[in-house]
Amino acid sequence: MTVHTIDVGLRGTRDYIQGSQILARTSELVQGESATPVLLVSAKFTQITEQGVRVALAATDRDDGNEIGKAQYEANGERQTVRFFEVAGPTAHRIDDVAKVTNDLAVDADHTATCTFAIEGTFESYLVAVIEFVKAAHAKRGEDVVDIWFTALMGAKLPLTATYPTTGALRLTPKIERVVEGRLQTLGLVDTEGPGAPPPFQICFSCLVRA
Amino acid sequence: MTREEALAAITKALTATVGSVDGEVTEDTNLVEDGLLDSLDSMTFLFELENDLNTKLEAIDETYEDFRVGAIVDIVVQATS
Repeated sequence: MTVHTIDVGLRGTRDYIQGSQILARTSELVQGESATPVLLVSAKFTQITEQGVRVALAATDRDDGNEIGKAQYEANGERQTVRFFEVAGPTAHRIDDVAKVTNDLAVDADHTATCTFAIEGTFESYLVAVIEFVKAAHAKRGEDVVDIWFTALMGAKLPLTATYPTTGALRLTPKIERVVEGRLQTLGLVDTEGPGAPPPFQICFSCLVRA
Repeated sequence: MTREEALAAITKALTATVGSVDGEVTEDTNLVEDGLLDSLDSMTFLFELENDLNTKLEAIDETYEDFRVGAIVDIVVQATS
């Protein structure tokens, strides 16, 4: 295996590469090298980037770049860890934004949240919906909550090739919150309702709570 | 729950979080300072531990920082007694 440069861009007015794009392009590579269906099990981002991204598909693959995250996939009970590296150089090219895909956001006092979604039903469109939803739920905590980032998902069994529900509902149940180095980190459980919905998984976000 | 059972539950949650653990986990182990968990892992670890115990560990709030296994054993024993 080798290190691959993936085709990612700055979507709309964003000044960072979305984690969903990195995971979607990487998943295409991983599934392309597997004869059997692959599941995304976990992903973790330690840094954001506005530059390009390279992916090392095997533990033995080396890259000189700055490591910004990793993901774990599973096929036939075998786990594969891939690592993401920032490509030193100019910022990534700009690509068209996509329309908002979640609606009817409702957030309880305990930060439990729900929404509906309408998507294409692809792996990437599902990720976009989940991240859009959880980010919006965090923003509802108040104007003092800013700089909200998707940082990780764990305990997932997200098929890379299956068709996800095109419409349905999402629910976020907060589980763990911690303040680390001045930033609030949250872990919540995401449940999806809809035909062919994946099982629940954990999602982590990081945000700044202004004093 | 005894201290031994609490230590076993902590080790199980740790393994669920990071996969295999090199070496023995004892009450003297510091999960963060000894490099077993980073800040993101610590959240998953707490989630796995609370799920396994089926108990909310109220003593571990959002500002909790002491990841010595002995300290967490104390909390688990108290929460499950």
